[in-house]
Amino acid sequence: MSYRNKLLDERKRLGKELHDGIAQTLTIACLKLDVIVSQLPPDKAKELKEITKLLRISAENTRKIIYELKLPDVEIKTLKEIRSQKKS
Amino acid sequence: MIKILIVDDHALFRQGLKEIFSSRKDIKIIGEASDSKECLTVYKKIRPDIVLMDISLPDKDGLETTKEILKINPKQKVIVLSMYDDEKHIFEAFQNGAVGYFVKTKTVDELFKIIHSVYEEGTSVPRSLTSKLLEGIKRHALPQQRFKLTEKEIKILQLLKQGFSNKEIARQITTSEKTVKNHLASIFQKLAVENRAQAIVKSMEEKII
Repeated sequence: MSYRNKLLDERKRLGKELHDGIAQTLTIACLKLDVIVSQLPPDKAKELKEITKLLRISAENTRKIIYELKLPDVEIKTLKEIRSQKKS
Repeated sequence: MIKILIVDDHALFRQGLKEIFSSRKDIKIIGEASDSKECLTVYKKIRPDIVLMDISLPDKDGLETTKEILKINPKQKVIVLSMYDDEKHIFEAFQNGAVGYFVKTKTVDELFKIIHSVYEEGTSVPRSLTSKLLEGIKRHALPQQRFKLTEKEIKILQLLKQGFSNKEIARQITTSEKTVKNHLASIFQKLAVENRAQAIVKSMEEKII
């Protein structure tokens, strides 16, 4: 495998790790915190709401990194591969 | 009571959603699946009002699975769950039959709103996604119109893809080799490419052919 392909594979693997790991954990944590915040009196909810906001910023940033790591098909496949994929 | 089937390969996310919905009287999870195959097996046994479908599943993606479900029940309401909020993913979800789209980083209130809108009104496009959906339609719907390619130019691109030479293309569309060259020059200009290979790649990438 060429150095370039190794790099592309690693980029893909990293994106998948982020998507399946930290991104899922952060997003579900935010959703669960939303529920808890909604059940608390406003004065007690304030700080937790702030924490949720910070976590959501991290989730958004992770999402952006995942998107940037995603490669368009044309960059990771040869013309022959794209052709055969289109035919199948 | 809105009956829901959750399809997501992330066990943590499924479990989290179950806990969130368990505190509500208006929504009930009646089934769950971790991949496309399991989803179709479960779906045939239950009749949810709404399917919450993760866009990326390990065996077959969520959009293909949505199409499979709609083959079984064309009226099924499917909301796509996704980490992506770009116009391509949003457009493709609606194009494949989804009636709602939830970006996982959004709030739980937005999720509840989408579920209720879909249940009560049949569809839901959150205001935050409307412009991206419209952009998606503009960019991805009928790409040949976007590039202003003529039917003949599309036919030539299809023949190029099959590996035909200019002479062979001319024979296929009953014209002269010179006319084919003129068409190709026009195609290259419209697609903003410099050669045949780039024209094939771009037209496939843009789903023109």
